[in-house]
Amino acid sequence: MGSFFEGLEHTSWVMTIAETGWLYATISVIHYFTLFVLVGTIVLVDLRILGVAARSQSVTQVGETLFPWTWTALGLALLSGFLMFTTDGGDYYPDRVFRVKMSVILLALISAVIIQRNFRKWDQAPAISGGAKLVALVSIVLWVGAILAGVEIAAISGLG
Amino acid sequence: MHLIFVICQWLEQTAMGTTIRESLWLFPVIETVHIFGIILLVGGTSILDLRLMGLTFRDEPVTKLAQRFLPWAWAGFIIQITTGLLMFSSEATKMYVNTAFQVKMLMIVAAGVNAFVFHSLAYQSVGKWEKDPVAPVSARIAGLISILFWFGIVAAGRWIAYV
Repeated sequence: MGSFFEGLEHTSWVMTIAETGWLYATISVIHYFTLFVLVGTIVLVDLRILGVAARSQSVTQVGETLFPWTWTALGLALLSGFLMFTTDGGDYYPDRVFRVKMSVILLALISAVIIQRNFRKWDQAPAISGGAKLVALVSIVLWVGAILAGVEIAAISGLG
Repeated sequence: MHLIFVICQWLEQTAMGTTIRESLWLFPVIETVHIFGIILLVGGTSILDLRLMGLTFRDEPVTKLAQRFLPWAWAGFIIQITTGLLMFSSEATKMYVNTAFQVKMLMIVAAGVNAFVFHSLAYQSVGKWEKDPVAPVSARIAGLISILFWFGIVAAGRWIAYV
C-alpha cells in the first residue's frame, strides 16, 4: 500500500498539484471550508440532541435541515483531503498522527451514521434517551479530536 | 512600521510566546479552539449576511435573527481575538513578514469598517424594512461585502501556512 501511494505521488496530475503552490493552497482552503460545514452542522445536531442548542426546533427538524449539508461537506472534504494526501501519500500513509486522524474520523462517521439513522426515532420518545445523548456527546468529542489530530499532523510530523 | 516589528520581537520573547512556541501541544490545541471559533463567528455573521441578501430566513425579521445570532458571533469573536493573539505571540516576527497574515489583518479591519458603516447607516432604519423578504440595496451590499470579507479572512488564515 505504501509503495502504491509512493507511486501515485509521481503521476503527472498529482505532481501538478504538488508543484503548483496556489493550486495546493486552494485545495487546502477548500478542505478547510468543508470541515467547518461538516463539523459545524453535525455538532449542532449533537447539541440539539443534548438539549443545549436550538431548543425551539425539534430534533427531527434540526436533523432534517442539517444532515444534507453534513454529507455534502463530507464528500467534498474527502475529495479535497484525498487530493492533498496524494501529493505526499508515501509519507502520509505510514505517519502515526495521520493514522490517528483517519481512525478518529472513521469513529466519528460511525457515530454520525448512528445519529442519522435514529434521530427521528429518538425524537418520538417523550424525552431524549441517555443513550442518544451519549452518542451525541461522543460525536462532539470525536470531531474535536479529528480537528486536533489534523492540526497535529503539521505540528508533529511536519507534513502538509 | 518599525515600532510594530519591535513589539513583535518583544511579544515573541515573553513567557507566553516562548511557552507556546516550545510546546508540541499548546499551539495545535489553541489552533483547534480557533477553528471552532471560526464556526461560531463566521457561522453567526454569515446567517445575518445571507438574510440581508435575501437568500435565507426570508420570513424572519432581521432584528430577531440579529438578537439570536449576534451573541454567538461576538462570543466567537472574543475566542478568535484571544486564541489568535496567543498563536501570534509565538511567531510574531514570522507573521510580521507573512503576506497572507497581512492581508488577513487588513480584511478584518475592512470587515469591521463595513459592519460599522452598515450599523450607523442602513441599520438605523431597520424597523422600516426588517420584515421585507429582501432588504434595501445598501443592506444587501453590506451583507455581500461582509460575507466575502469573512470567507476571505478564513481563506487567508489557511493560506498563512503556504507563504
